Amino acid sequence: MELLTTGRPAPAETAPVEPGRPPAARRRLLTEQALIMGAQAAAGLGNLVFALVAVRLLTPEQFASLVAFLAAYLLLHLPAGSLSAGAALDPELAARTRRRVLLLGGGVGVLLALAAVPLSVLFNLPVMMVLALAATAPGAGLLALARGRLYGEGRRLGVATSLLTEPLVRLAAGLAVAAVAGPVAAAVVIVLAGYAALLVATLAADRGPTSLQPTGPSDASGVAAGTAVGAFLLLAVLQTQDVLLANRLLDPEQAAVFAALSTLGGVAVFATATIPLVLLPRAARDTPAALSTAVFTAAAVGAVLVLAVALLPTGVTTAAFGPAYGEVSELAVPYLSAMALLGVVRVVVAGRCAAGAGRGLLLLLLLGAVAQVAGILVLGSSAQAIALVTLAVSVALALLVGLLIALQASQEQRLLPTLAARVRTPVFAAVLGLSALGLLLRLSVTRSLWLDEATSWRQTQLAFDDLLFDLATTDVHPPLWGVLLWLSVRVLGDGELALRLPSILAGTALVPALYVAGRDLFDRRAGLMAAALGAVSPLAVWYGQEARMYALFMLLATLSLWTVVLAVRTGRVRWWVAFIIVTFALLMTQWFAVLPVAVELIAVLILAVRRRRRRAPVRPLLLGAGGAVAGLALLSLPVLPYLTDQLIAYGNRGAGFAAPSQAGAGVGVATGAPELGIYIPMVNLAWAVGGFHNPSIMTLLVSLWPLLLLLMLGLLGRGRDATTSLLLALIAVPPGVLFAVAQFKPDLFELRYFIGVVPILLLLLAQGASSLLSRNGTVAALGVVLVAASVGALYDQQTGGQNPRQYDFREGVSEINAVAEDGDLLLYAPDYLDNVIGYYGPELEARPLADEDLPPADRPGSVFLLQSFDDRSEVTSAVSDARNGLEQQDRELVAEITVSNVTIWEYR
Amino acid sequence: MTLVQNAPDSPVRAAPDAVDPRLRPVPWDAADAGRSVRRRMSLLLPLNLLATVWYFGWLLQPDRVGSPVLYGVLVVAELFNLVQVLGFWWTVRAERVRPSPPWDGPPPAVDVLLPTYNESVDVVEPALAAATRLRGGQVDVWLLDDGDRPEMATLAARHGAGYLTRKEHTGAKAGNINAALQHISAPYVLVLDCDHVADPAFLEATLGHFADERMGFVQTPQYYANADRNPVAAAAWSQQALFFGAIARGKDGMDAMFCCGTGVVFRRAALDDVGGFPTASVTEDFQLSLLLHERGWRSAYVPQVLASGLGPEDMSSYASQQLRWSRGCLSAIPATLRARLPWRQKTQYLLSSLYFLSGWTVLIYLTFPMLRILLDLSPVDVDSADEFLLHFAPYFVLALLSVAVAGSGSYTFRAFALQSASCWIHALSTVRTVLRRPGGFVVTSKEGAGTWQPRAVAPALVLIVVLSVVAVYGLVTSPTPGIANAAAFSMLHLSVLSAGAGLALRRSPRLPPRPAEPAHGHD
Repeated sequence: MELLTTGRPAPAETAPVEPGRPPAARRRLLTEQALIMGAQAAAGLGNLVFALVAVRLLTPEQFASLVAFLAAYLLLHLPAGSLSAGAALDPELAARTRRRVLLLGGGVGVLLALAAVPLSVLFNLPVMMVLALAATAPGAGLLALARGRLYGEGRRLGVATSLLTEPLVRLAAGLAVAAVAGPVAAAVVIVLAGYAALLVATLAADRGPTSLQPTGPSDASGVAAGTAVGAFLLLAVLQTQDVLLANRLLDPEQAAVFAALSTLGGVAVFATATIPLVLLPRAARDTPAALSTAVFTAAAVGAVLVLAVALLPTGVTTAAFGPAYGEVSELAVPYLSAMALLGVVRVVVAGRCAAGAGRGLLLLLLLGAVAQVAGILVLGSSAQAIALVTLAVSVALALLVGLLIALQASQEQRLLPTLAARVRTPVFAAVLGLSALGLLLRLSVTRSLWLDEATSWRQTQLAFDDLLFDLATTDVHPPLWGVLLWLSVRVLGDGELALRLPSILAGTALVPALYVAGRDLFDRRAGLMAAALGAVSPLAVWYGQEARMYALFMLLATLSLWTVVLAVRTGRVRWWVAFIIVTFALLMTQWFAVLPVAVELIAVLILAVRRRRRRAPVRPLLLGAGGAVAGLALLSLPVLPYLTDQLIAYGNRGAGFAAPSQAGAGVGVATGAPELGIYIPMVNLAWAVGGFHNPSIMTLLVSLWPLLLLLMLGLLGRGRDATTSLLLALIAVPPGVLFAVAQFKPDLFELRYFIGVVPILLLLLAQGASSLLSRNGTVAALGVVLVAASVGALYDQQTGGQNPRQYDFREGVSEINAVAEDGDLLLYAPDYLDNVIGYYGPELEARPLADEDLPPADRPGSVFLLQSFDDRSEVTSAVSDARNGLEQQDRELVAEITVSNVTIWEYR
Repeated sequence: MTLVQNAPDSPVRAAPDAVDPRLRPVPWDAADAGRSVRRRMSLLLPLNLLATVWYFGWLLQPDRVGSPVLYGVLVVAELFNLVQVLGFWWTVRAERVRPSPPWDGPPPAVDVLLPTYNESVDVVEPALAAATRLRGGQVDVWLLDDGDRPEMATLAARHGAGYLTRKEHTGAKAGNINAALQHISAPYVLVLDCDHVADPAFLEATLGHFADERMGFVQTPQYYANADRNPVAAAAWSQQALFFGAIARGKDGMDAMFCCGTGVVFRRAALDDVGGFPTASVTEDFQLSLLLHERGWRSAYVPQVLASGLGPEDMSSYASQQLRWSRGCLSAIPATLRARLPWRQKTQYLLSSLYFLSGWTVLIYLTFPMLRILLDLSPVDVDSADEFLLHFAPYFVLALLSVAVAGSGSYTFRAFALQSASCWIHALSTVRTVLRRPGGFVVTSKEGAGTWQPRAVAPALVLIVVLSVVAVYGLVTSPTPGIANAAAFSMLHLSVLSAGAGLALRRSPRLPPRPAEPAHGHD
């Protein structure tokens, strides 16, 4: 009433609803997708239940053959299903081509029937199954056309009914038949179920309302339909040929594992199969948001499925498939990821086909299919290998399709010349060069795995749910790194370089991150200087080579600072969202990252107070910051139980670590300083800037602390730049808080726990040098000197035998591996070397020295004693006792080997 | 002349800033508007006190005694600095920012005195011209020329100002003003150095305070307009900014602001009450303030830049200025101790006088690392290497932070370095004061020599050389952590001294002018 009396029109009644208004259109599209997808999901679930029951009813060999039949059935239907894509784009296509499709299907059926015997040998299938497959062929194309027409005309109910018919028939009749008559009879029922679905689809095509107006036939739609048919055909090949090849190449057990895996992957295929078909007619009519909604839906469904399977306890998979299929649970995540990615690719391809721009993608898909076959033929020695080949091909295709579309879009919007011009700039080249230098330095890692890296490796060997349990009960860090490494190991394996590759990549990414942060916080010169320092920074390189979370910590800390500054400066929502994402990842990488994040948020609050004092608008700032805090809190809520578990476990362990603390080992002692005295932060500062060196060098460096007073005096009158103040706070507060806490919990003061200060220090150093540079050209040399000093320190850290953190377990254990024989025993001290011994000497019979007494004197073979951390008296005394004991057993010392921080004695 | 004619109301705004820096807008706010030092210091003070107790509680333990003599010297130096630090906190916590009440009644008669001795016409003319344009009073401008120069007489005549000279040039600036007082009779007297270009609103902003019948004088800040053109002036200005900012506001809060010789309006009756300016001191303004306060006259400080002057542009000028100030203030200590003043005022005068002993502490501190390297003597005995750092660092850092906060960032490293490099001046002044050697009044040059002046910093240069040699000797002969620590202290001192003394070794000591910022003081 009020609206009417004030003369303003009532929009809902008077204004026509715009058909293309994004929110309404998106809602409608989502509903449409959800309905069809629900039917498809139900159908998929039905098929899954069918397979899960069949696996119990049949022997592994029978089940493998049934699944291979199903794959071949799918192979026939999916290419035929590509006709659905064509018909969805052009419903008239169904009427025009029905006869030809029937003839073609019949021809294929006849050919299959004629080649039944050789095919049965080739694919290791019973002949009757191949004949059943032949009977499928005439109906497959017709079913696809009928369903395509239903999609094209918007007959959602008809599509849903047809989709549900097939699994209902399979479940109702197929299982009973399988139990009684075996897999061949079940295959016949499967064929009949397909024909039942065809009947339903044909009947539905002439009834019920349509939600889409016909577009009318045109040459363009005919071409697009043809392209869509081709593209969907290739995608179907990509999704199914691996299981056929696996059945041919692998032994029956592995083939059965892959068959089960394929069944699981089929969930993702089925769940997303309808999305592009719903999209096609919409996209052909240029319905706004149709493509983005479809991509979003496919990605979300895929992600949910992958996440669900990842979180599924191992026992569930084993219970579902049986004990013989235990390996399935380990391969489920990567394989399902591959299928989910292909599901997204299919949607994108459909969108491009509908827009008449899908031809370029055909070649790409063809190459992908060929690469998959080649990869499987070369590498497919196990179910795992074939799954990883499919994953690699899927990732590559997703990236290439994305790139191709981005290039096409940029050409359409004339973005390409701008991009090319930007790439050609000297600054871009410099950052690229520095990144390449950073990558090379990080790739040149030669040192052995460190204890913590070996712990990470051990965790990657667990099943996913065991990993989470292990992290929650034996670790002290958030789960992100463990999960990332777990996934990467499944793709890259667990070699030294493979384990370290995620850190190497994160460490390399730090270089451009420092550039953009320096550029946006200060200026381009500071950015370049920071990138140069980051590329060669000894500490950044060291942790960029360690298979732990610290390189990621440094990267995310830099990005968190960068995004919050941009969010505050621009006030744009996208920067706040970026800040939330990056910061959540940071918090999930290291718990103590909460300290720099708190500093950043408090800085925003102080800024708001200052703005308010100046009577400048603060609402957008407070809304952004409030939203960020709320977002972070909301995202962190599900992790609380995990954190609680860790805290309880930490308390139960006696709130300490078995592994040695490295807070300032060796340096404080040399000066007579207490273990956690004020020199320790100084040592950590020296490490942060100059890396790890001989303790005597570090002691000398730390004794130069009066020069820091000079630095503080130099800051007098430097103004009150908010950004610099924030950086100073980020450098001072996290170590300061941890140092204070460490007075009560000494194990908490570790440079690694506040390693986020390293890139911030580099940024400040770069800004300091850069600002001096602007005043006096001669100070340009300062930048060169800083980088040269870093390179020198890096050289000493990486190559000098003076670095106390070089523990050469690899060399030590390989010396044992070279001479050890069956029956030999390795005793090691301290006991926390177990993971590193397990990594380098998995074949050795080894146990900690403290576990039991020495082996009996009459035990044959050699006894190896391995000692490390000889700065610990309990280690040296235990080893000394053991050596005395072995000598009393009249064992002879035949060899003594010393490598970096590791000593080995062989007694025989 | 042309400038003034083109800008009848405001020479500051009309003048092209490339010509004379005194005619440009003032970028400094003496009142530190929008910020409360009192509040900020309230947050810092508890931390400062804790750190002080932490450090001195450790230092003053009997176990700390290393070399007894050196320890004693260290404790004396540290206690002296502690007194200065406590005085600083106490002062800035008492800050008062006075509003400027308007003059009630018809504009009073004001004599404006510009004493000059050897300054050039270029320096004096803008100041004289600006003085004739003062509003808010019936102004008579007098150029007091102790140099008896005809061009000054011509200049005064050209601007309609009175020209006064005298037969006997005794008593320096004080004698010059006293001689003028014989010829003038206005109830208020404004004294401006001859390089100070006054804002037309000077009297409007200050005369209102004389509504208080016991108000003896009203002081305004000195501002060095050439601070952005010359590094010596910049460093000197940075020191001045801390004084005319937080410290002067604090002294005013305790009714203890003293006269600074320029930019100050006196009640004529107050001057007459104490017999004019004292001529026996080289810091006649400081002594005059003491007398006025002792006679019960009050003072006020208006934190608003109402006149722009020129700071010393070379080290020779700076050294002579510092020598005069330190000599005058140190010699005023006995008089201050004898003065019948409220304890707050007396303590404030003492703190200001004693400041000029701080050079001794610098000399003491830089001696310690040399003795450690050469003789292995140390003032303190520590159980472990990090003990001193642990106790000293918080005290040092928080003290620096307090200065930075109180000065709102105006106090710079260069100012600190210049002060440290002038340590020998304080020592020399002390010796002369103790020996009762007379000090002469040397007019601070307003125009830089623009040449090398190593002699002006010769003692500092000697110290730099000695520190360097000893540090290198220590590192080469015994590169232990202890010696490296002493060498690092030596490097700290020599870096600071070098930064200060280096100002004397620049042949072209002019900096490019800063872009003009919105004016505060003249608006």
